Amino acid sequence: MMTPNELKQQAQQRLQQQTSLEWLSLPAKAQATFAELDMPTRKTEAWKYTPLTALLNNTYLEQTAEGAVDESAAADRVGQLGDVSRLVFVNGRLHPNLSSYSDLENQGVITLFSNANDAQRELINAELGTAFEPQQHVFAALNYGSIDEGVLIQAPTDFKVQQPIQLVYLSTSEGQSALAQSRVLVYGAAGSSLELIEQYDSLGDTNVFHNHMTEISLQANARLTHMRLQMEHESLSHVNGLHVKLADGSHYEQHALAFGSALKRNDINVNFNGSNAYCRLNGVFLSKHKQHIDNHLNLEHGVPHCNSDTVYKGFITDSSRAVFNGRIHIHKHAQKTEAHLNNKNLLLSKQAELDTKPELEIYADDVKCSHGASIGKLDDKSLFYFQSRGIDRATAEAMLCLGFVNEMVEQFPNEAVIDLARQRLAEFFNDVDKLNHLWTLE
Amino acid sequence: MSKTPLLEVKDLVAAVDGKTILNGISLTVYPGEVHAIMGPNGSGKSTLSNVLAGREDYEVVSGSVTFKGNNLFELEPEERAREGIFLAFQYPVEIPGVSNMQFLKASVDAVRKHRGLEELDAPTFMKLAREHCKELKLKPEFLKRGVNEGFSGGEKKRNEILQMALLEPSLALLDETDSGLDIDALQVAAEGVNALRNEERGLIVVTHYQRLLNYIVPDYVHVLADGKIVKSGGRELALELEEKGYSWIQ
Ligand SMILES: Nc1ncnc2c1ncn2[C@@H]1O[C@H](COP(=O)(O)OP(=O)(O)O)[C@@H](O)[C@H]1O
Ligand SMILES: [Mg+2]
Repeated sequence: MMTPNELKQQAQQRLQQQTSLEWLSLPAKAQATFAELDMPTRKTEAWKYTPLTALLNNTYLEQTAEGAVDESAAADRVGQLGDVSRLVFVNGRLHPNLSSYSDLENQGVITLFSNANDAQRELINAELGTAFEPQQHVFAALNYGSIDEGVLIQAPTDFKVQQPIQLVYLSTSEGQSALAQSRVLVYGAAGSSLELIEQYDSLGDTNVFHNHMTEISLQANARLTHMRLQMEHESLSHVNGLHVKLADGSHYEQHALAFGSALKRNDINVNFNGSNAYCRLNGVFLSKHKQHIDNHLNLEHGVPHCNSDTVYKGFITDSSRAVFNGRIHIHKHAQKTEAHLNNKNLLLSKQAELDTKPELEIYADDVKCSHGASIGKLDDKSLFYFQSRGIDRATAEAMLCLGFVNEMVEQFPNEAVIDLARQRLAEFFNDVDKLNHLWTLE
Repeated sequence: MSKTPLLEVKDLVAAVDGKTILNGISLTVYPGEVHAIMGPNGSGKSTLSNVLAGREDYEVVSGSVTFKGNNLFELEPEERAREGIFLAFQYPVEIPGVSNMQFLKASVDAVRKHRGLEELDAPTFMKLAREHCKELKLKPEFLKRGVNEGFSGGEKKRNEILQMALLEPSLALLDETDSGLDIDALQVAAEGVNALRNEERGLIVVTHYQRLLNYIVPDYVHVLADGKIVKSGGRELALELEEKGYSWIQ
C-alpha cells in the first residue's frame, strides 16, 4: 500500500504531459493548485468516511488507459436509449464508431475541445473551472491539470434540443490498472433547453480509476434535464464532480442512479447566481457486497428568490458502506429562499454502514427550509400487508426494496432511461442473497 | 346450510404490549353467513380482525380459533390468505414504488398456486383486473399507480374490495370498509361485496355505523364493547343500536 504522498507523486506524473490544447488556460492553473494540495486522508473532514484505500492499493495513476474496446459488446451496452445524439468515450477517449452526433456537431451544439473555434475557445476559457474552483478538490485539480480533450455542449440562445444527448463513459480494462479521465462543459445560453443523459458503464471487471468532471452553466431562463446512471462494475474506482451555475430564472433538474464500487465518490455543487432559479436533485444510490459510495452535495443559495428540492435515497446492504453529506448554505442576502433536502435510507444488514449528515446553514432570516435524514429497515406494517395477500415474507421484502428504489427511478423523465435502469437494477439485485426473488417479478 | 363451521372462535383473549384488548370472544361463522360486528371506537374490532389475519403485534393469550377445521394459529399470515382468509384493512398502507398491478399479480399468483390453479398470464390478468376496476368505478390508470399511493380514502377502500374480488376468499373480514365513503362510493363498494356473496363464503362486516348494513344485509349482528361480545341478535339489533346509541348496551 502506498502512502498518500506516494499517490500524489504518481498523480503528479500525469500532469507533466504536454497538452495539445495550448490555448487552454486552465491546466497551468490547476497544475499549480495540485502541487499545493495534499491527498485526502481520514483526517480530511470531507473524506472522513471515504478512505482512498482502493487508490493506494493500486497503480492506477501509473498510466493512462487505452481506448480500445470490443465494439459489438460495447454497442450492446450503449445502444438502448433509442433516438439520441450519442458520444461514447472508452476510458475517457472518444470512440467515433460507437458515437453518432453529426447533426448536433454540424449545428455547433456538440464540439470536442480539440475542434473548438475561436469563439468556443473563448467560451471554454471563460467558463471551465469557474463553477467550482479546482483548489477545493485535489481530483478536480488533477483532472483539469491534465486536459488533453473534452466536450463542449453549447445550446445557443432559445435553442431547444429535440433529442436527448447521451454521453457514455465506458470503462474497460482487462490487464493493468489505469487512469481514465474525462470532462464535459455544458453551456445553456439564455432561453435554451437541453436533455442530457450521462451513462457511466463498464464491460466486465474494470481495473480503472475514472476521474470525471461535468460543469454546467445555465444562463437566464435556460433549462437542463440531466439524467445520470452510474452502473459500472464494482471493481472500478470513480471520483466524479458535478458543478452547476444557475443564472436568473434557470431550471436545473438532476435524476441520478448510482451503484457502489471499490471506491465511488460523487461531489455535486450547485451555485445560485441569479434569482428565481430552481434546482431539483433526485438521486438513489445502492451498495452491496463490500462496495463503497459517497455522495457529497452542496447547494449554495447566494441570491434571493431561488428554490431547491433535494431527495436522495440510499439502499445499503451486505458489508457495504455509504456516505451522504448534503448541505444547504443560505447566504445572508438569499432572502425568500425555499430549500428542502431529505435523505432516506434502507439499511438491511448489520455489517453495512451508513453515515448520513444533512446540514443546513442559514444566514438570511426570511426563508423556508427543511432538512432531514432517516435510516430504517423494512416496515412491518407494509410487510404484513403483502403477507395478508398471500405473498411470502421473502418476496414481500424483495418487493418492498424494489419499491423503495423504484420510487426514485420512476421519476426519471425518460421512459427508455427508466427501462435501462430497471434492467440493470434487476442485475444488481440478482446476487443479493435476500433479494434473489426480485428480478423475476417484473 | 352446511354443518361444519367455516370459522370458530372460542374464548379468544388477545393483548398488545401486555395490555389485554380482547377479553374472551366467541363467534361461529358457517359458510354463506354474513355477520356484522358493531361497536364503539376502541372496542377491539380492528384487533379481532388483525388477530384473525395473523398480525404479529397481537399476542394471543388464550382461546382457540379454527378455520375450516384447522388451528388457525399454526398458519403464517400468508398461509391464512392462501387458505382463504381476506382482511380488508381499515387503514390500508401505502407502498410507493410498487405498482398496484404488480402487487395484485404477485398476490393472485401466490394464492392461485397454493390452490392448485395455473398462474394467469399477464394479458389475461390485466383484462380481469380491468373488468373489476370498471365494476368498482375505478379508472384503469389506477392499476399503474403505486399501491394505495396518494389514493383518496374511498379509492383505498375500493382497492381493498378489488383485491378481494381477485382473490376470491372463503372468509372475508371487512374492517370499517364504509368509513370515509360517501353514499355513492358506499353503494359501489357494497355491490362489489354483494357480488361475492354465495353459499360457501363467509363474511364478517365490521362497522361503527349501521348504514352499511342497509346495503350488505347481515344474518347476525354482534355488539362488541371492551373486547367482549355483549349482545348478539339478528339484523334488527343494528337498527336498535342506531336508534339508542352505544351507551344503551354499556
Ligand atoms: N398496536 C397497538 N398498540 C397499542 N394499543 C393498541 C394497538 N392496537 C390497538 N390498541 C388499543 O386497543 C384498543 C382497541 O383498538 P381497536 O381494535 O383498534 O378498536 P376499534 O377497531 O374497535 O376501534 C384501543 O384501546 C387501542 O388503543
Ligand atoms: Mg378499528
